[in-house]
Amino acid sequence: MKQAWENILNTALIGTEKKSLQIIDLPVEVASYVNDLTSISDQEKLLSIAAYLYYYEKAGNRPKKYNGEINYNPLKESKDVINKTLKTIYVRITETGYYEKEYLLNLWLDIVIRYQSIITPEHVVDIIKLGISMTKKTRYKIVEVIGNRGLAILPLISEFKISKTSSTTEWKEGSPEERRNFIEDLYAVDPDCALSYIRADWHTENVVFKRTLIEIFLKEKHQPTIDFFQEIYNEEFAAKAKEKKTESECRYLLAKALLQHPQSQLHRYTLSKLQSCIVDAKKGGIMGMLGSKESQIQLPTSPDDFFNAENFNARYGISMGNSDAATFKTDVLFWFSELLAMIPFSMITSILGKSQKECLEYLLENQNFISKIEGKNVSILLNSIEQSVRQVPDDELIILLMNRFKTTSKYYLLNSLSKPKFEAYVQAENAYLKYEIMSQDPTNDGDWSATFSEKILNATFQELVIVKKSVYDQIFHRIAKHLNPLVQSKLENIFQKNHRDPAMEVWIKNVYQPVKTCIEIKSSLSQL
Amino acid sequence: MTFTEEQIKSLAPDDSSLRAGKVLSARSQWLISAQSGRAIWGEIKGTGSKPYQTQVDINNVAFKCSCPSRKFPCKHGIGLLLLSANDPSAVSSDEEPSWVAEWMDKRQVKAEKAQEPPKELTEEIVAKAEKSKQKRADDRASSVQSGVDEINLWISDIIRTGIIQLAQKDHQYFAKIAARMVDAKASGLAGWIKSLGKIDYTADSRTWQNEALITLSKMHLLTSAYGNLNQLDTDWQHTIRSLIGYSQSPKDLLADESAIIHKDVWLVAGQETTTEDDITVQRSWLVGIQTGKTALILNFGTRFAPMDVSVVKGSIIEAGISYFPSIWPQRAVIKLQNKFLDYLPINEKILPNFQSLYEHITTTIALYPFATDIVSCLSTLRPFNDNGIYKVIDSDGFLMELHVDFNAEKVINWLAVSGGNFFNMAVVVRDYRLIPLGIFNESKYTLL
Repeated sequence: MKQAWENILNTALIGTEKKSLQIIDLPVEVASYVNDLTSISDQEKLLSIAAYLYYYEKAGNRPKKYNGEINYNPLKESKDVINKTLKTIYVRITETGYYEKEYLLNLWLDIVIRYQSIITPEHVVDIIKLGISMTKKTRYKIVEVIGNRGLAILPLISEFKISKTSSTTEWKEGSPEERRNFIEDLYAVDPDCALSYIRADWHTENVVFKRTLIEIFLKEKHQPTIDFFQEIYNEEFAAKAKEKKTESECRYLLAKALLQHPQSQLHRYTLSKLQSCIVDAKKGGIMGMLGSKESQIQLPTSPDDFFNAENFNARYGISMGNSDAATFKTDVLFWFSELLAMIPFSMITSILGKSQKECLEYLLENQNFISKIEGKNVSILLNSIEQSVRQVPDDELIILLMNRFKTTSKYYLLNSLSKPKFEAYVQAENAYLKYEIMSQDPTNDGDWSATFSEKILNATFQELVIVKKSVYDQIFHRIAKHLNPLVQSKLENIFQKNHRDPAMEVWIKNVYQPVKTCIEIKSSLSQL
Repeated sequence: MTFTEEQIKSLAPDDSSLRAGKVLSARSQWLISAQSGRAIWGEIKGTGSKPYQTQVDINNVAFKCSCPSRKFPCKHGIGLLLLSANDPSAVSSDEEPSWVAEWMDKRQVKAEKAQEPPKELTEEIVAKAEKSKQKRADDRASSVQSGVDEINLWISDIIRTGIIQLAQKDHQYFAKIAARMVDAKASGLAGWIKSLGKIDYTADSRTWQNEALITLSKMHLLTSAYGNLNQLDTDWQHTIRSLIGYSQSPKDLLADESAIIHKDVWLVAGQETTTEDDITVQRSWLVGIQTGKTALILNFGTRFAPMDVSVVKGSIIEAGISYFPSIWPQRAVIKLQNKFLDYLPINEKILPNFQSLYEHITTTIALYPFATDIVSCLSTLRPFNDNGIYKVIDSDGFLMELHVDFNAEKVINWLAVSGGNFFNMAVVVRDYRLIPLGIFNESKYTLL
């Protein structure tokens, strides 16, 4: 039959006027039909036979049996599927706005993980796809709730970029960025395991990637990590006569990490050396007499056994390369400034025996630490203190320090404040709708206080409906996420009193509706 | 009826309406929201001074909203249905307000009116109408015949001079012939010409050559049958006319009292929406759970006429359908719709394996060689990875390939929903390849 079809096709290809139709090897059943085709043209005959053959072949079609070994390993789930309430809430979360969705989904995921449940099978693909545009932290949580069937399909959805089953592969063979992300995420959930990966492959890593790894864990308080830092600080990154710049940078980072820990040798050494710079000076009085004594830092005017290039390079990874002669009158001042950026500010308060405020005033106002640059007096230690504060945030110090900055760059410090202090700051500045301030809101999880929530609600209403001015979208998103449910009645009051006002449309759309949805979802979740 | 999220998505006219509807699906968005046994309604604040009034007929799915949107259904209708699906407690049972009762009553009257016999006409008017109808029919037959004659000549020329030349023809060549067939009121033939133009002539030569010859031979079969139309029985005549391009009027079928009504619990097992030449075609495949019958509901939409969205994917309806006359009746209209069911009765009319499916296909094609999409329910199927290509395997170890229209995304969803387990399934067989539609799991049907 195959030959019959080939013959017909070959004739059809070049045409019946060039190649006559050869009818051979027809199956008996088809041939009996063809015998009746006498009074028609060759073209019609060819097409009729083609149709007969086509359907004859199709009628004999049978499914193919798989010859290989069939492994039937259906996936079984060890966890229960979420209940109807959680399913309903999930669907509602998927219907919220883009900016609220991830926040609410995280709240939902935390509960599902806590219940040790998994999402319903028909939503597995949906939640994975939802996670594609979300943070790695969220995606790792999603992996926890998709069950075995979800894990099995993860490798097929490459955009999700997390495949729990291939984590070791990602670490062993991934790009530097993938490896960095992998270890960072793993460290967040299992620091011991992450450290064991790092330790096992440390000798094969290049120095640039080593620096990346050290940077990731700079603020960690995990003791085995500190021990590891101490180890490589003492051995691998001990100063050498010839070393790469990256190696000294690693030493700098390690020193910075070790200085945060009072029990570290470097911390103790640095503390004792700085203490030796403290002198008692007389304050006030007449001709230096009768005044009270005050601790001051007396830095040597020239290098000594502590403040010297070799020591600062060997112990702290600080080189003279960045020194600015116009700012720092002496090399010692430069080293001190660099050191100040590395140590916790508490070390300064401890050696000077003063309050944070006094220490700050001293370091920023004492003539020894002021240089005249372009005709203006500049506190040369301001940036170092800012770095120190970022490393170890302290509310009081942040507020004090912010007052010393004249530009809007001071707002970046707000992100290091605690939530109550941030709210107090915004309240004091009446800056509820000021984007550069609100964008630094440290509230990532949870709600604002009821007082703060009420104030920001009033402020948006005033601005949008009364003054009829616009408000940054980002502020709306923050309100939706963090407004305290205790002010829901206030929200309703505003709505009920004013909903006939056409100017309310924008408020309803951007504040009322998203907030209500978020509060409803959060409240449903809190009842579980 | 409780709609699922998936079903509601299928009702949305476009993605933006669905997104907007989702935003409006929170309880807080609605000033009021309630339902009776036959309708869901709600009031929502809009840009106007008065809230918009939105209502949905839940038994014979239909929407009405006082908003000015030209989309149908509008975002409020979608939002209200989503609210009722995801947060049923937000849509409490209540007495219908006048604006809902009025609309629903009107719909009921209209539906009853549609089933009333037409008013009696005078003999003269009837005769005039008949004459006019006959003239239209004759004109059309003459037009179609000229189209058929042209196609016969064209096919004959192609075979005489060789089909190899088709590979050199551009899109315009096929489009022009198709357009002439449309002018001749033979849109069915136009579709065949278009399918000939869609063959990938850059593919492996034997593949396109086979495809082209098969298509031409089927066209020849069809035009030959049209030539012999008067010798065929009525069902065949309807079938051939329909294939040539004579339209079938759902309105006429709905009004036809003599049309047989097939009552059953019908599962809308799957749906496919395609757009061609600015016309959106929605195919809904129905499976009769008690009788094992299958049916196809076609709905059309254009930019100017929104599509009827009353057939909801995955829904289970207790209804009576009538088939358009055909040698292989599939296309149908829903004539009586009693109610939506929230559960699926046990489906016993199910083929046991691929062997029996192939026998069913052979029987179907022997009856009607032009059968394309054959809907079936099959026992115990699962996805199977055959050297990196996903296929379908039955419990006897027989394989069938997946149709290209069942894309990778759907395969992934099937893997997730089934977990690789065997399930009874509803499928469409297209070109001897499968398009899985959904999974039967006890009294639940999950769409893929």
